[in-house]
Amino acid sequence: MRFSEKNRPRLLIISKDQSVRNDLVILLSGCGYFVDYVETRSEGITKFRNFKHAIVILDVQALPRHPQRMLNLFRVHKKNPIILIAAHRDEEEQVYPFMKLGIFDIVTLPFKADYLYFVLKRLVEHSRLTAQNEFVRMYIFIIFITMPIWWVAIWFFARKFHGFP
Amino acid sequence: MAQSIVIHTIILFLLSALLVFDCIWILLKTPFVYLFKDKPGMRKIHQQTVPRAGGICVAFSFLVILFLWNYWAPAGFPRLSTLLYDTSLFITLCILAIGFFDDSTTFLIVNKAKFFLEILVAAEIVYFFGIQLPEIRMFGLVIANRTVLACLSIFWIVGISNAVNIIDGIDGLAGTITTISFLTVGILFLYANSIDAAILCFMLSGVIVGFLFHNISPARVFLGDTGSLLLGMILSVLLIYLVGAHETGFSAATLFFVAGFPIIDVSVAMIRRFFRSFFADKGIYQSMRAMTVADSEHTHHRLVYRGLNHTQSVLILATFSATLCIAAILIRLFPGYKYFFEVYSAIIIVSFLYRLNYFDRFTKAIRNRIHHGNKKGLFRIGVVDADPVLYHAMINYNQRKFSMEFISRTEINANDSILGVQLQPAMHLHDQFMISSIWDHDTRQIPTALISKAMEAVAEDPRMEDDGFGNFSGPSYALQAQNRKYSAVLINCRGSHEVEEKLILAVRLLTELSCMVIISVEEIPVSALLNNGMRPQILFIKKPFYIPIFFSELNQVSKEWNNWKNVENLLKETTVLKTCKG
Repeated sequence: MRFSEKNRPRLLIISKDQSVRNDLVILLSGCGYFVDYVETRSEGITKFRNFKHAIVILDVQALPRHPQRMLNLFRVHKKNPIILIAAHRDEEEQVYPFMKLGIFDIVTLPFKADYLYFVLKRLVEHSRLTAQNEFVRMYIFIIFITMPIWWVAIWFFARKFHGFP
Repeated sequence: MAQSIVIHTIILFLLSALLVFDCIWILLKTPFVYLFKDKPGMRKIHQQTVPRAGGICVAFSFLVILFLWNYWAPAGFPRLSTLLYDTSLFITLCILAIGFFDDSTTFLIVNKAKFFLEILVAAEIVYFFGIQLPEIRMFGLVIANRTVLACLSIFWIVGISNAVNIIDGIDGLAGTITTISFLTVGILFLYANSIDAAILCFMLSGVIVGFLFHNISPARVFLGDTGSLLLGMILSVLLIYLVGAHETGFSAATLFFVAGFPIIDVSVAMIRRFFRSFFADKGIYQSMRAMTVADSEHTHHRLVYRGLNHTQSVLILATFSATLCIAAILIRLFPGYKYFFEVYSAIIIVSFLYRLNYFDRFTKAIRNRIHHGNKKGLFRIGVVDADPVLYHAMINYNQRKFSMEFISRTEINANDSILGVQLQPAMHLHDQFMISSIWDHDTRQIPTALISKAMEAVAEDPRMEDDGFGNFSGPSYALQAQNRKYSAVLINCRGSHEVEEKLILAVRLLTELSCMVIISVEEIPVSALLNNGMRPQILFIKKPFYIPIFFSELNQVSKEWNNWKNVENLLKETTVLKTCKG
């Protein structure tokens, strides 16, 4: 997947495991994401506050016992960040209760590169379509409510310059 | 003649755009740009370091074009009036001096000092150049006192310049909005026959268009405080000048709509901060202070947080702003329809803000009032022994009326007060028959222990009064109902073997809490079907039941049950059997 310089999504990796960090950075920077990586969640939150990443990949070890507060912090600074959890297969069940809090998907370790690319591609596509939908709805709304003013203006200029009745 | 003026104005427009474009392009190639680095931060949306040097280039180019126009303009092309020329020069130089220190990373200027300097500049414009509001007529009031008008003019100038500074939050927004405003002011000057002022406006919009080529998303350069304050201040001064230029009465709404978006954004933000602080019990003084604390909840932030990119957000806000500007021109053209345009524009503003969830606090309050009445919150339902399927179905069902609390049978047995206030079993004597009537027909088991326990409690209860005929009367059900923790309790039977046990529990809950009890069973007991004389408190629903139908039934029944005065009457009615099956 290739992104233009203009539309490059910025991505944050929070993981204590250096090998996970390294793998993810190599894999994702290679396919055009702008990748930041940190070790602890406090560093991650500071980084997120400053750069408002579009996607956050969290190691399951970096999740606190009550992740609601941490995920809320993400939400405060960017309303809809997409959060992925990287977890070993046996840790997967720990994450399911938190799926409601805004976690998008779980990626199991060790990574299968193709699957990771596929998940991220689907995710970026999803957010793009959501945003596009929101934009179109908003624009239709704006056009709809402002239409009478524009009609009057067009009618006036048509009358003035083209002898319109 | 007129044609040559139009051609020269277009040339001036293109020249100024080209000059700014080149000026910024050259600046970005020089190391000078590192003086104005703007790093990403907590309240900022951009993700990479971008210089804030755009405003300095804009100011510089504006000065150059102003000199060119004034000294080398061709014959027949109107020169700028001395007043406007001097004012523009003064504003540009002052703001350049203030903004340079604010934008650079090397020097620092305190916000309060900057604000003080802005007021000073505005005061000098008003007193030395004499540009101030001539007279204000609003709601039948006429303000003609020169001191008051001067103060209002200073407030207007400082307010608009800061408002433009504040809306400069995403790429290209402040530039686009001010371009639209300057074009509108230019058209309005044309209607007032002030050709020179109109040309100045078109020239300024040309300057901003040149800058916008570098500022549209992703921005290579930002406007910075120099640019936004400069554009805001010139816009506000031109608007005051516009009022003076019109000989006939000038509607205040026109002024408001031309600078509409910045004014709305800032005023709504201040009101929002005040109420947020006020409702958090901070007191009026603290709330007033909170009005000026910066946050990232402005209109453009809201659009970006919805997932729109910068270009899309700017497009939406520019359309909104352009509509207000068109309304301003139409008010000038059709003064007879002034009120129509004003009211309709107000409707547009309110509906736009509503769409951006600015009235969330109020709509939520109103919705709660409609759904739950004034005093009460959600109706609370206790669900006893819910299996995972029932749990998920009830939790995930989208309804705003009931809140669920899941409890298990063991919990209730372990702690009597788990259901809230532990009430005395204040029963009427005929409740005995209710209990026995359920179980008399049931051949298998009779909960005599429960009956005797209840009767003992009734006899010992000091609140009970014997009427001499064996009928006890005590605290009414209505009284109990007010204190109860749950509006209704749903008891789930996981199999037919649990029915008897759950019925005992149901009777106990009924007598202690006097709330509606619903038992979900696979087969409704024959006794319940046969016994028409049974009390109505226990409802049976047969599994499998549809959750939406269950909630709608519950909604209907709870309406009656929560009218406390009716509870006592309801308790005397005949059995109601509900099977919630679609």
